[in-house]
Amino acid sequence: MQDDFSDVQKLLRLKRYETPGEEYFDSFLNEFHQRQRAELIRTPLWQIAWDRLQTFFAEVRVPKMAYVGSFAAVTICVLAAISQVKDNPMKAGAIADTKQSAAPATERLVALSTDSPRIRIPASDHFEPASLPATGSPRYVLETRPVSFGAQNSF
Amino acid sequence: MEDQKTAEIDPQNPPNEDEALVARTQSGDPVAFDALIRKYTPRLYSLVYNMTSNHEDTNDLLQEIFAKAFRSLNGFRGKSSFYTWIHTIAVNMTINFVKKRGRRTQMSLDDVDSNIQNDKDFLEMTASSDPVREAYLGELQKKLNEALQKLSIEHRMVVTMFDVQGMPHAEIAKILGISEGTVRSRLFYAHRQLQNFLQEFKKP
Repeated sequence: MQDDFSDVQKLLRLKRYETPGEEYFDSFLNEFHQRQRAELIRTPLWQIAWDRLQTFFAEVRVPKMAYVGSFAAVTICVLAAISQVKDNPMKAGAIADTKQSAAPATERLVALSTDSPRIRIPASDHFEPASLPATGSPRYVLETRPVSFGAQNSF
Repeated sequence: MEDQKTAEIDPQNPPNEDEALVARTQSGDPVAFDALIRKYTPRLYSLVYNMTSNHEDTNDLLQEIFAKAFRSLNGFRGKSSFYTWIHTIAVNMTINFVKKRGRRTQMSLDDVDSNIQNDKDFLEMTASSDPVREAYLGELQKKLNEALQKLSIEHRMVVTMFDVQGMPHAEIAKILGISEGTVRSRLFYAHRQLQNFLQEFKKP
């Protein structure tokens, strides 16, 4: 069958003689340098980055099924996450609350020596202001006056 | 025929030379890339020109191909040869260009090199007087380019690479990312179509 096309192939091989000439190839490199300099001035950085990204992915040949597979995997993960949140909406919120409240309350036990009693040391490094007791009425300190008030009236 | 084609390719592409030039460019020597441009311009010009049939388009596209290759060279890890890598860039950019251009094809053909007058195949086909040969040459060039433009982009690409450039099937398959069987079937189909388009030139 190949012989049937030998005349066509001979004709096509003659296309090798269609060339722009030596001068063209000599000046091609100069034109390349000129264009490169011009491009540096006018091309924004994001476009250069985009070109590089495109070329990188053009080089990487991914099998067609890989796209389908990765899409399916992502979809399954998203669906699983959504269903979990739907099943336990309170739990998801409660976990966040517990994390916030648990941190200052934690304490650690430090043993100074084998004989010494155990001392509780707050885990946080900063001091918290003393909080009012949860029950009972607020306490007021009576019969006390500011120092400045007392000083003005004493001779 | 296949062996002859393979033999034509290999001496032009000693991989070590390319590897050294690529390594030098990657380490910051732009002069090394100039050497790669000088080496690959005629080959890539032929590829792009036979796809576009237009000298000006080919020149612009070839400049963009080398610019893109230069920008992306740091990402070249040598998984394939530089020869395959730069041809892949050229093929992808040319296909995109031809698709965008669509049917607005305006031919701007290069002159036929005078060396064709010494070509065995050409002499066989034009075994008559010189004036007839001259007239035949002009007509032949026009008809050939018209026939190629009638082919689909994929078929034109394999014909250009195999028949005009003399690449082996395996190399074409690697560059286009298709199997060798697909290359062969595309070639068969394209040859059959071209035979119909060029019926009058088949037997002089």
